[in-house]
Amino acid sequence: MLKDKLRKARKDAGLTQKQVAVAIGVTESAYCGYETGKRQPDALKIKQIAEVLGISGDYLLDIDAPESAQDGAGLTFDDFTYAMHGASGDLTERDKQLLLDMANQLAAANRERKKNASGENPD
Amino acid sequence: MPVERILIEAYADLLRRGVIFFSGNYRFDAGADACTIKYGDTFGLFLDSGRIKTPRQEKEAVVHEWVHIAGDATYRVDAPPAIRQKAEESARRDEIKKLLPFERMRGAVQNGITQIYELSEFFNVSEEKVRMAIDYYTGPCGLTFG
Repeated sequence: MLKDKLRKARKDAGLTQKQVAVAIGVTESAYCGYETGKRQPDALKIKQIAEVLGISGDYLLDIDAPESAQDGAGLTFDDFTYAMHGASGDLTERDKQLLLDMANQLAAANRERKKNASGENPD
Repeated sequence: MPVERILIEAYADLLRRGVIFFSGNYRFDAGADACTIKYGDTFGLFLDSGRIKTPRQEKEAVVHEWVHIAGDATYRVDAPPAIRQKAEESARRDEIKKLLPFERMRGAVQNGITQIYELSEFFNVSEEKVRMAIDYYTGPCGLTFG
């Protein structure tokens, strides 16, 4: 549910309710209401919260990736997350493109694995 | 050189988690030698064969990515720097605990292995990791090796 995802994402980001509230321009009480389910943020607020917490709005809203994206075709930067070892600087545009290519490669491999698994268990 | 237990443990756990492995000459401009991608619920671990040349480098890269995956600590390409740094700091702490457990490190120091280069050789990790471990244990953890 949205409220649970908000709370988890905020804690993962190491932020307090007040910090997020200030960042998105609402009172702490209003933001607290989002996390308890007493209030519902509108689309703009969800977008702002997602940006502050570094997550996707689709994740907050439980919107699944479109079928084409699930198949690994035409992924965007919103469709995956990453981590690195040994990086000493910011990502260049080439690095970002490399990450996108990797995400596509992973999606294709995952699709292949699922296909093989279903082939092994025909019933 | 035999494969170290920690690397076997890392690969075994990654396989249990269904991680898909890739290898290639990626050459990130940012200097990374390994990268984790999370797509849906699936993790992919990409090792740069052009940069990982020794078992030690492989161990450090795989263990670092392992703790990211085990902790589900990945971030978006456009994540704010603070979130990226938090995830990386957390991964570095967990990585240190795996590569250089405090009790083993203290035991080594008490047995006369006190220089950075000696500890690096003893634990088969880079001197950078030894410095990170010393900073972490004596700083935020408030521990001493004496």
